Amino acid sequence: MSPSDKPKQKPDYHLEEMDNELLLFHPQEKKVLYMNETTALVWQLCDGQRTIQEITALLVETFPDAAREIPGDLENILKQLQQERVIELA
Amino acid sequence: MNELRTHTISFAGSTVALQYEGHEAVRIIEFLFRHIPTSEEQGVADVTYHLLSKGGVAELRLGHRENEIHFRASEGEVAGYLLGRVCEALASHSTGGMVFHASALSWNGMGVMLPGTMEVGKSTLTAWLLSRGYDYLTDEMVYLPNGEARLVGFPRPLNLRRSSRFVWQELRGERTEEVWSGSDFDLVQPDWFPMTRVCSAAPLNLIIFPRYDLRATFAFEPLSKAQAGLELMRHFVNARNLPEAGFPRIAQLVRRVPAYRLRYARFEQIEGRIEARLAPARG
Repeated sequence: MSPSDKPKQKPDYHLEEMDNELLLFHPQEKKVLYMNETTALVWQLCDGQRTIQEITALLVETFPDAAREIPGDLENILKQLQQERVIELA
Repeated sequence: MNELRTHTISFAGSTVALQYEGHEAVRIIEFLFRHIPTSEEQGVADVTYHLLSKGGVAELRLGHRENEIHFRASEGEVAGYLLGRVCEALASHSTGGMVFHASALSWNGMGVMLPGTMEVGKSTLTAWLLSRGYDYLTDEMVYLPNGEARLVGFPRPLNLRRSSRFVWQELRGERTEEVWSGSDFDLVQPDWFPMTRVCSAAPLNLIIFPRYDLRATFAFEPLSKAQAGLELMRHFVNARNLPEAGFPRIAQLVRRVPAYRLRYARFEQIEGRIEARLAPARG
């Protein structure tokens, strides 16, 4: 995973947003995923246009108090989303 | 003289026909389905099972000719096996609404659903709640008709593990004829519990995901709507029969009904707490 990678949501997921959390469902794979508020925010930023570096900068700008933790946390969340096969890196 | 009879059971939009013959077969059908209304519709069964008995031995035949399974055993054993198969068949053919693997009870007209797999102890918890004055809907299978937050239960005898016998036998039941036993389970009629009423439906006011764990620290905590949706999807039996696997309906449901996670090691830890959560729904 490099800073210039552009994470992109995989298609075909049905999405339900509930109090800033997300519930995703893939009808073919019969897979359901729960995302807490933080993971849901990251997932929504994975539009295939922004690089990881740009997502990091955006999050740091929005949450300056957490600037030190954001790069590591973001990497962990992206790894988790990649393992769950809900994003791909372009 | 024995004669072949048919007993038809409809639940959640699907139907099972039981063709049976013999003294023990009659007893089994009467015991298992005492609280379940017989369907008026004939000839529309999704599945047909055959239950025959002769000389004190019950035999259950499932399937069709070349794939037929024969199961010969004691009354209690055959009853337990048949009950499981009937529940599976009804759930897997249901298309009208959502079917959950769950217990359901009612307290002062307010309904509680307890979804869970076999090992979480939901039948034993149900037995304990019955001893506390709750009304019985089911210990296994709940149906929510299309778009409604309304519980319809399959009011079968409670299927309690042998290992939990020491718990429910303390709950003051006396009528031993209301209990049938298999090798590792007991089928206990809700009537066994004094004061228990069986009701067919109740509004859904509360969802609780229970887990008994002897070493657990007690917890009774609210779940977010998304967490509740994830949990419910795990116990959603007929999802494959519904459009978009019922996902939008689950989302709609958890937006309307509060859900909690319950971890407990002793029943006394629960005393009064479920009723306290139901009180706001009463208004």
